[in-house]
Amino acid sequence: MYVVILGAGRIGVRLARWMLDSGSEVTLIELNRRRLEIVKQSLGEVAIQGDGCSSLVLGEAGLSRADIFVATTGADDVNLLTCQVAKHHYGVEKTISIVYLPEHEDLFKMLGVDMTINITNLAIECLETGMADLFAEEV
Amino acid sequence: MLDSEETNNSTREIESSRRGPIYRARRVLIVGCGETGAALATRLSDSGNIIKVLDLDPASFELLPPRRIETTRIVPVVGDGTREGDLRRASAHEVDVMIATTGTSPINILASQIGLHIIRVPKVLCLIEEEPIMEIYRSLGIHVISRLHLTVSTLFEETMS
Repeated sequence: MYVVILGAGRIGVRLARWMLDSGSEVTLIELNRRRLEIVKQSLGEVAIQGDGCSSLVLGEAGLSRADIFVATTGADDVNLLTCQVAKHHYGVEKTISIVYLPEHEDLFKMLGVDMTINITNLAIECLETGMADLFAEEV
Repeated sequence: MLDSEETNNSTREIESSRRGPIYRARRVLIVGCGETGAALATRLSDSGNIIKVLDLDPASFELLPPRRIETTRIVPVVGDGTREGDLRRASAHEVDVMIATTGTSPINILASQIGLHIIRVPKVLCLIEEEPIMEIYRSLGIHVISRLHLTVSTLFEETMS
């Protein structure tokens, strides 16, 4: 499987390592050169430097032959745009995106993003579950 | 004989065309009060349109003509153009046209899609800095205007004329 991941931050890098370990081919796209250097040292030559919103960079990443595109940047607007380009122009079958603002999740789905990970809601759910015990004990 | 009828009809047409087209003031929401947004707001309000300008940074409204704000022909609203609630606070659900002019293309595209698909603004214009990434925007129903494309086209025409 060929996976293109936008963003070599904490999420992107961990995801890339998991995919590589499971035998998939991976390319990371990252704007920040310092992060890129770190990735090179830990994972090897699997990242390219560039702005994921640029068609040149997406082409360079071989998006047209990717099976999956995952957007992991910290910006909903960039994540949505790149997923739309991946799906509607490059024909990538599966687009996955991190979503920060819970209210954006429905729009992402409406516009064709196959899987959305609502980071904020996830964190809140974990907190509520984790803290429920504390409040229960107080009673 | 139809002659007299035809003459009457054509007379009526000439009379109504002399009155000129009826101009209705448009209600416009501009998202992003940078140089472009502010200049556009000023020019649109010069033509009698009613403008609201949305920006995260209240300092950006200093670019707007104070007189127009005093007379509420231009109304500044502080808020985030990528949040439906803030767009509605800026009357997005009541405007004829929404124009996204922040300096960041992906933000303009997100704001435009919220305006188009969720709030259902009748006309949405989206300014992007670079060449459009292929045809996808048109197929997604967003009217995209590329600053780079406009600049190069104008310069090209001037050069070649």
